[in-house]
Amino acid sequence: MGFSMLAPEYRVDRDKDRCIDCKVCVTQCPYDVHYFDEEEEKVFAREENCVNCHRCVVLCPTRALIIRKYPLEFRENSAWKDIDIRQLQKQAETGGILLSGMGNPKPLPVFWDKILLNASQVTNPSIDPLREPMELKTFLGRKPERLEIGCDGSLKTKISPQLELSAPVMFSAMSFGSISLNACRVLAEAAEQLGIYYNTGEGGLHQSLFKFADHTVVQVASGRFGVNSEYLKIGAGIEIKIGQGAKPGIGGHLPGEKVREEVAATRMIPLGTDAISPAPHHDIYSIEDLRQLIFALKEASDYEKPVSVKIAAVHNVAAIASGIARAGADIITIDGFRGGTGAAPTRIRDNVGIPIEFAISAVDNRLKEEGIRNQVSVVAAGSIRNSADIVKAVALGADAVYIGTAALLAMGCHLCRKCYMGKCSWGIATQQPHLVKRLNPEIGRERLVNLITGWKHEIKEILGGMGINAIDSLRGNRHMLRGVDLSSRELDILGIKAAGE
Amino acid sequence: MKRIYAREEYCVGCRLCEIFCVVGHSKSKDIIKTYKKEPDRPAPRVAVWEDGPLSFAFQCRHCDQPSCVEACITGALSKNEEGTVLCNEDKCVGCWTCITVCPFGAIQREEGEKKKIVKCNLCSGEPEPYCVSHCPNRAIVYEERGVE
Amino acid sequence: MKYVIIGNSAASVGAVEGIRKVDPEGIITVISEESYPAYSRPLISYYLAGKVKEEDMYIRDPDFYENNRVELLLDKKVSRIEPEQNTVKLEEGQSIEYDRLLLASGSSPFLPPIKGIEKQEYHFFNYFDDIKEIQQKIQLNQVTRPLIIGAGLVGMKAAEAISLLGLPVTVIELGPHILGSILSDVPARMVQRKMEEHGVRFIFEKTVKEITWGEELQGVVLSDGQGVLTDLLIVAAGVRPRIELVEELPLSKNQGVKVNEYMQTDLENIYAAGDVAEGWDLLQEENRVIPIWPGAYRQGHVAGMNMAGLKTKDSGGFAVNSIGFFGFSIITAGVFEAREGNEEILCREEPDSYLQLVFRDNRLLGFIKLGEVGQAGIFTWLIKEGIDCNSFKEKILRPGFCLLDLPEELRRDRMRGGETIESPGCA
Repeated sequence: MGFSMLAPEYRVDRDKDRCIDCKVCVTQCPYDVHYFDEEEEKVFAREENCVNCHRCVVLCPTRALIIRKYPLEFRENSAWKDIDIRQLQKQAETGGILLSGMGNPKPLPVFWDKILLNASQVTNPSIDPLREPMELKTFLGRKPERLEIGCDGSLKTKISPQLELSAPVMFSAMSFGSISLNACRVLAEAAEQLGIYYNTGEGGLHQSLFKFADHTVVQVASGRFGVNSEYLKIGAGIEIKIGQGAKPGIGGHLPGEKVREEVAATRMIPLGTDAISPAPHHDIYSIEDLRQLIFALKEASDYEKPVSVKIAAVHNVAAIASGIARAGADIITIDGFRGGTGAAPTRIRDNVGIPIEFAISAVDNRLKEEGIRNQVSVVAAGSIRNSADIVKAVALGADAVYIGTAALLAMGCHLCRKCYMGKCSWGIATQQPHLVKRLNPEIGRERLVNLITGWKHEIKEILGGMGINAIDSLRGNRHMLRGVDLSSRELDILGIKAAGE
Repeated sequence: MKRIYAREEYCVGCRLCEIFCVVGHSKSKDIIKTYKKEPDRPAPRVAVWEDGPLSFAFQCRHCDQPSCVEACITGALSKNEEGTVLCNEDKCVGCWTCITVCPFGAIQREEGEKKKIVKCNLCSGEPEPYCVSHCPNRAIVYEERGVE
Repeated sequence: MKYVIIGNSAASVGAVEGIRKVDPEGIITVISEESYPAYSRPLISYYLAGKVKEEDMYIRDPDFYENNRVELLLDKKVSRIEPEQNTVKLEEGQSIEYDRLLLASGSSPFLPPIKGIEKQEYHFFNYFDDIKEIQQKIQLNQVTRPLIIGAGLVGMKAAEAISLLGLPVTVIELGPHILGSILSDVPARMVQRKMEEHGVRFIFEKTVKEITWGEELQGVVLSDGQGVLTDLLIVAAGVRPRIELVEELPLSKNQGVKVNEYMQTDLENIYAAGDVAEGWDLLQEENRVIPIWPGAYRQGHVAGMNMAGLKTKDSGGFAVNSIGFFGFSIITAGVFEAREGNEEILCREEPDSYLQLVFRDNRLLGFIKLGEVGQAGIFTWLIKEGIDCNSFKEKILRPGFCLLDLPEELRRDRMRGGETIESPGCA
């Protein structure tokens, strides 16, 4: 590469009193930042390559490294912020579409932080989850209109297939190909241990993960990668992916260099070929077409699996959700505009879609208005960051949430957002064997299980504080929510009162 | 007996095991002092071997019937009651007979002036060998496996 | 049970440790002609060069004999073995009874037929006392021109040690190059150059015909009539197994005493180990004397366990040597030349290192490794296990060959290793 006008984004501060030139940073940096100069017998850095992934910082045994923002001042300009200038410069050099990894980082409002939760005082006593039972169990799938009970007390109504979750949280769709097999393994093992589900994304199901199939939601997307009859039958549920929060209206593109042997075999495509998922499903142009696919999949899986349809949260999400419910889906998954991705065009990621908070309440309202809320479960996704976000999502009307970014962070991701480069220094978003090794599934699983276990405790605490002893009793219970710093229009859409009301 | 085992599928080639092996056998046992102030710091007893994506850390296997102890011409090498194969560095003359017979290639040499071997002593006295406790990816484990 | 061990070096110590593994009670008597506890013969050159102190010459702690309840008879010579009475007779008349006897009498240096040698103005370089005499002479400044007959392992270590003391050494060798028992021509020349850089002078393909005398030793006359002056003559012309004690006994012997896989001679209660014994040579597939330190210990150890009643087979061995001169290391094992003609020899020669591998049917038969010697034990292991190296032969020749380069299955097996039932010793 010739001369670049791009200034480095980060600088590497190496404390010479601490650095022992042990070269751990050199071996660990996949971006060729650190190097050892044989002549000087010292480690130096090519700062322009640094993506601030923290690998060197965390592994440096003497804590000699600090990565800082490169102290480069642009002339103050409210219209042209640093990031705008940098992106423009980059595009001027490459002539291509700007690519990004992970979710929308723009300073748009995070509505979770503008919603506050209630707690009991005096009249409705709170519950101590350490002393009293607290139920987080969640079932996803179509619920019957009414229950018929026989004279002997047995249930006569046939219940549609359900996903049974120990808590209202699942791991989002992340394909083998976009993430490493070790990362998939972490998700699968943790889901099994936690009694929840993970989602294959459009990567198919690797042979070695078949044993976790009972905790797997298998996805069918526009490229149909990895879909065969065994795949559909083996999973606990099936998900049709229409759209994704990070890139609504856009398909997917897994570059050929990531399609190594195992990925190719699992996706059932030739080695080294680009795996392109078209923007639309070429057989779906209407709700009726969608219904056909839903029932084709139900037929293929003997009507034993709930079928979910995943869409990105966009302007008419409520009407679309209604159509999906009427098309026969058992679960609707809605992915908000902050949802993550391995790679998306930056402009799409940062400018398309709507916040998940609004989408949940809009969809919940609409389905209730139409009297079909019981026919589908609603799963919310797109930057669920902690247990409080889950509680708020459920109170807004979601049955459960998907977490993607949070799960990756637990495994070791440091959110450097360079997934699309395929050189993930933490062994997650990469297929390079020497990098894949960096994620020991044993450690990843422990960390992920720890995270969800902690969250479960917190959700119970929060519920107890509200005087509620089952997550079911919170669902759509927006009385438990109040808004701050929101316009009355926003409060209306969210269906919540302002703080103090 | 408890032995150190490498798990090649998780070795990230960072060589922190080598670095901390040196620290564990240094005078100060402080990483910065070891490297900055002990010019005669010991050589690592563990070596990371690497070839492309394949890498793993390797050190003395503490064989049940150690060839090196049998072959040692000075009596510097011995196997203690716990089964640890130890080297008395005062007696070692650097004849390399042990290197000649070690069927694993696990014996290291001191670089430079000191012409002696160095070998893993399982960090005797420590609850866990330094290489094991400092591996960031559990690619080195210390456990009882028995004959497989 | 009464155990008697004749000899007090590697095989003897191995036997004591072998016996005690099985029998904590029996009475062990060790008889030695020398006046020291077991010391390391290979270290005598280090001692002479001042690299090892006397107290570090001993291969076991001072309380070794006490802890193992061994009666150690020093300065005692056995005159006769009487198998009918199960006794050994000492020269001074004493008889010692045994239930099991181990002959670990080692070897003695060979004295070539040279005119004038009967005057005894020469030294061997085999025993601690030999070295002490030489040391004394050098310390009294009586030595200015040392001369060594024989460029084998012993002669070369002697040359190095004396050279390190600042004396100009001359070596006379019958053969065409040094270390003929372990090196082929090219590596031998490499080592020779290293030694010449340190002032050692070589005369090849000559023998010493005569030793000349004036008042004292003056020099030698070589087979071509050339005269070489010297005031210290060291004879290092090889060793012979010391089988004189069993010469008359009804047991088979060639150069050494023949033993079976339990280190037992033809006489049930008499065992032999070390330089005196003809144990199994894995590579030559015959019984042969392999006069090396690690092998002696191993044989002694196996013999000890069998003597104490634990049937233990010796896996056999082959020649393995690690030696070095002026910091330049040499490790060799097995065979180093094509014998049957179907061997394949691979070499890598660099300015300061050399590697030669001999294969037959893709199995490693021997190697020579000079300069960089790390990890050489893996080669020894490949030889011993007779592993088919076809799929990784090229890698073996590369610098830094290690476990990593083995095929996956073999590698993983090695990585678990240590606990596997390795037969005692490699060599």
